[in-house]
Amino acid sequence: MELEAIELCPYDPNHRIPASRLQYHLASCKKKNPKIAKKMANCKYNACHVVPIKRLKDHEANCVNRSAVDDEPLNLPKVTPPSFEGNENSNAGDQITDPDVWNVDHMHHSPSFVLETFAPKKLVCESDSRDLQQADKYPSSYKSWGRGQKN
Amino acid sequence: MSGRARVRARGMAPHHGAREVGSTPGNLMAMFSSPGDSQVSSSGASDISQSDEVTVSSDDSGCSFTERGQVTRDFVDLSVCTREKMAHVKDCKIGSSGIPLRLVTNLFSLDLPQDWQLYQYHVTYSPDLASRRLKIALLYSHSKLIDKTKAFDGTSLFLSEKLDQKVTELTCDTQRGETVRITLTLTSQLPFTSPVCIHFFNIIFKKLFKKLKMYQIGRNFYKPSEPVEIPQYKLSLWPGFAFSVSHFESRLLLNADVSYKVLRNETVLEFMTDLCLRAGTSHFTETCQKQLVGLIVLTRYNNKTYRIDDIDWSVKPTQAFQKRDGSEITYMDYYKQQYNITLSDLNQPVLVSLLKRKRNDNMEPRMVHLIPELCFLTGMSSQATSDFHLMRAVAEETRLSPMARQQQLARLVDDMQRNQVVRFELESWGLQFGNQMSLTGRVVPSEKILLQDHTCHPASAADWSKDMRSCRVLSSEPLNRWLVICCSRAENLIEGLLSCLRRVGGPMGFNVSYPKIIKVDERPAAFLRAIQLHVDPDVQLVMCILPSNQKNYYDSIKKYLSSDCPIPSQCVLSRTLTKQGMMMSVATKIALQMTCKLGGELWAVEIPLKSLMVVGVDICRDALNKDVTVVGFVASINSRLTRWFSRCVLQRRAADIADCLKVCMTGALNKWYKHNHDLPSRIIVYRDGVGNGQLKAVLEYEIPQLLSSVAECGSGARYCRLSVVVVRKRCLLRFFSETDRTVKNPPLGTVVDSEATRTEWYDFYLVSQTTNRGTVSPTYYNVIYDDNGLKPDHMQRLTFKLCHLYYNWQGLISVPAPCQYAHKLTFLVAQSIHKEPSLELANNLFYL
Repeated sequence: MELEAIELCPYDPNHRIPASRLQYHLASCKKKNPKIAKKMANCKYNACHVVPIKRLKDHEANCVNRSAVDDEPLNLPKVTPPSFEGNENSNAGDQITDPDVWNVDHMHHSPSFVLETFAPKKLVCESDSRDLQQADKYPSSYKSWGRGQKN
Repeated sequence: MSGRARVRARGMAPHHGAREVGSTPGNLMAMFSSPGDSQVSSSGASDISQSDEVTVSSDDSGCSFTERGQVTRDFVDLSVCTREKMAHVKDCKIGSSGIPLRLVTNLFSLDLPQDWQLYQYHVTYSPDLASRRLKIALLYSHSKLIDKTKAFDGTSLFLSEKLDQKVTELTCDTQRGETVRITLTLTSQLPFTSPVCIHFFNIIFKKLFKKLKMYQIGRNFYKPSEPVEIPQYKLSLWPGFAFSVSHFESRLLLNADVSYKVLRNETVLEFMTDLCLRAGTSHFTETCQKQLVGLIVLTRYNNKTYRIDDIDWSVKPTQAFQKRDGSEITYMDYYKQQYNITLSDLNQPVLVSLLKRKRNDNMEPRMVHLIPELCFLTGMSSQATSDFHLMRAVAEETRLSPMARQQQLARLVDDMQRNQVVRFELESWGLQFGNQMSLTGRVVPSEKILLQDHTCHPASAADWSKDMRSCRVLSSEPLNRWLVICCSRAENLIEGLLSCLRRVGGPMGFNVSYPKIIKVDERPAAFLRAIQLHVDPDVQLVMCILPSNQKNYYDSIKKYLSSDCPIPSQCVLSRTLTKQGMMMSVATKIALQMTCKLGGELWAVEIPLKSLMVVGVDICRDALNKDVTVVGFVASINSRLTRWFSRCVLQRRAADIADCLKVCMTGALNKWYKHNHDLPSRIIVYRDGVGNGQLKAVLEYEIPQLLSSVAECGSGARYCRLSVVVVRKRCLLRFFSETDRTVKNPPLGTVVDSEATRTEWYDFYLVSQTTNRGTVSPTYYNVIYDDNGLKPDHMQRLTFKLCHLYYNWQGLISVPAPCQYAHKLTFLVAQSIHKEPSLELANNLFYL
């Protein structure tokens, strides 16, 4: 029987997990330790690399999975002009002459909506019911990724 | 001999904690009577015999509940509830467009009384007993429980009726006169919708299938008593069923489908003899080892399957082994005695199989010795799968038409309802079984195919190649500088191919100039050398005419031309070019592929959503290195969805969940921005390759990566809205449309979004493939994350539209095009390239 490599959980070093199960474990351990998770961020090259936010920049500069391609600076504007609004409700005068344009923009999204959808309020299985209360206190933990990335 | 003794007699190492079958009270005394049976640390039989117990522990099929009754990984998905978080589909997830159609499904009702509940008790013994068999026997024999419907695996007891008190104490005496106190504590009352219950029902049904004289192989059950023989290829097919009990929208239903197990009428001994004759006796043991280890074999005397883990050349059937009771018997005598089988070859080695441990005991895995003469090979060798006639013969039997499938299923239900034992078991649990379910689906409108100056309304969306014949494709690059590399033998085929390419290319709008032709020896190295010598930055494409379909030609060429020297490549077998009558269609196919590889666009469908980016993600394991996973990410770059950006990442982890989605998505958004000078307002990701039990991981581990990328790129006034849809090609569900008195395959574009779907999910089925022979399989879509808020109708229709856009097939495919592109990409990398392809090719469909 081949033995698999064992890795330590970044949220709690007492957890030792086989490499092939690490991703599943990270997802559930993060929910169970929101306080610790808040201080950690995921590497952009490999989501398994979970490091304290302060050390993220260093880690990403030396990450094993780093590739030159992804180091390209994103030449995306930081503030998108509100041209989105125009697009949705405009006529179908573009190259697609289909009158059946799906005018679907009923929902008014504010950035917080996006986050809220992801807040693990009911996104837990029955056994995690006691974590629900904790999850309510702390907003969705993925936010820390976003925060960690902005340099 | 009883089953247990038989297994012991095979000379296995003793152990305790065996999985055991409970027995009827009558047999109890018999079990405890022989002196060899220790009550405490006995090693019981592990293999379950097919005897007729009425009450059987829930462990019968090899699945036991853990201490706290937790569900196994397969049912973890059931606890994921994504729909309630999506406000726009909370009330209704049904679409509206299309013509309604009445469909029959392969779902059968399992009705329960309204207030039905399953009572779960935790059972402890004082003093604690190590033998599960004994625990079960004592509990079952107790007067209080004797006439109750129950299922017990040694720790958790399930009853259909509640006991009077929450905590019940029972006493009984063992054979040796010891008094044991059993405490039953009520831990939960489960409604039939809970995952534990669903798991429980599946176990009950496994028991029922066994009662119908079917044997479990893998996850399905087969009938060895009615084999379908294909003697000319020495194959036997066992018919059987795959099934799953689940809670659908409003009811509990059994989903059953017909399945066939392919067995070879060739024993391992015959295989070894054949190998010896062909390859000679030198290196015989190593070749045998290489070929046989890892294969699954079936022993027909007990219809059990084993995996060959090793071959022991030092043990012969004339040698003796020790039975459990200490006496020795030779293998040949044992088989004669036990099964009345006489072994003919007394020099054969024995095969060693390590039985899987079901529980996490830190015990040595148990070893079984098998005789090659009695082991039959299963499955089909690669030699067999590449034999066209063999595969066709197998397909004749296994590809059942809807009518034949329906008949088999009806027979199954009939058998179940007639069998006394099965009926009794169902009734005692309160289950009423048998009605086949019908529902109403819709057929969504068909799509128009848009070409450069023509719009097609194909007669059949399955294949519009004829409709497209002399139309110009949307856009193409002329092919001016290119190479053709071939062996001297194939030289005469090139002119024919080139003239055909010109003939089909013209009307298509694809201009092909004369290439530089290079002749090489018939060696892969020669091809590579030629490429290296003749390639320069102006070369647009390299075509290689391969002398044979030996993998190393294709692999080495593709590897070189995808990463080291990134140029689009087209490999053609010389055999294909010799088929005179098919030259035009072959040339058309090649011309279309080459157009795509050079960055052209073939056709489009109307996409009534502006600024939409569609992404397909697929994952597979590398063929050479099992620890490496290949992740394919293909994203559209333009709003017409005709140009695609691809990225392939290799992960050093033997798991099917992606770690690299953030960089992939960021790269794709960057590309989109460069092309459109704006960010997409909508992103829809179709994630293929999600297995059972992985839904939660996709939701909680992969989606945050995507969201993080989107959040980072789109900071400011507006985020790109993300939706993620999980795609499943193979599902157990089938739909048939009823006409007159027969059933047929449902038409293309059939959507089912009610009754056969799950309440907790925003999901639907879509039929986007046809077949001449057999039954179509619908594709299952589960929208697990949705910020876009599109109407379900639009989501379904968009998905259907995407199934039209795969450029390697002029017709509908079973999954959305980005998924198929991602699949093709990962397949190429996992089978041939084994490294990340160069990003210089990322804008073209180089992997087609």
